[in-house]
Amino acid sequence: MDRAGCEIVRRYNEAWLARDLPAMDAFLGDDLVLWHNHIGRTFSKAEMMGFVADALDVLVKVEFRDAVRTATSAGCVQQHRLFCQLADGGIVDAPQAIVYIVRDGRIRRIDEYTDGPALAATGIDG
Amino acid sequence: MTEASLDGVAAVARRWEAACRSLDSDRIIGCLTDDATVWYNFQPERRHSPVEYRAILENSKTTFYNQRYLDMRVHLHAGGFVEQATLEGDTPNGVVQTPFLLVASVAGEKITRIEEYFDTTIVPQGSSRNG
Repeated sequence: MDRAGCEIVRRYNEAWLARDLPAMDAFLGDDLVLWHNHIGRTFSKAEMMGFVADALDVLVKVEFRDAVRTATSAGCVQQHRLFCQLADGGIVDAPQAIVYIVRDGRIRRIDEYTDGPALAATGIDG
Repeated sequence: MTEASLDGVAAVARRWEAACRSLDSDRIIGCLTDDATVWYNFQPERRHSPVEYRAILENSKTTFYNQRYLDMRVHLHAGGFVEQATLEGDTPNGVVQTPFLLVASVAGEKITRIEEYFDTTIVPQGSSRNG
């Protein structure tokens, strides 16, 4: 199984955790589709980058703990514990899994699976 | 992973999908090893045995019936498969759809571990995936 997709995902998430939006952007196809199970709709790349910026305003710390990446026939799946510390003292600590579709060296689709109530502390719509 | 073993994983994934669509709990459990575990994201401290999983499946049919799988997408990986789908069913309050992700580990012709991710706000009480 091709590990290249997981390497792209690893570097993309490294950029996200480093709050480096331009570096994140470089790993994403312009046709990116983002979907969240707890919202039930898709977002464009521009929409996603908008609420990533919003999220960084309220998140003091973001970590993907115990991350396991699995190369698949279409890209990569990452399973981890999402840990967030918010400016108001709120904490998110919940299992999360993300399916990445990778094509031609860019991430084309991101499907995020999280238990919605676990994210309530963030107040982030996205 | 060799092509032959990936073919083996694909066969297990196809058998799993057919079993799930049949809603036959014995057939579903038959895809698991005796010591397999089933884990849910909303109960991260617990792992269910096949016997417990069977009970969960049977219990689900009382409140979340006529279950059907929509938009099923399966990605094979070295050692197993990943399944994305939406489980739709009827409840006393109408039709409910709940998307989920399932990560399965495979050894030989059986599944040894299942990890499932749901959003509990849209999982009907007593459903198959409500633990």
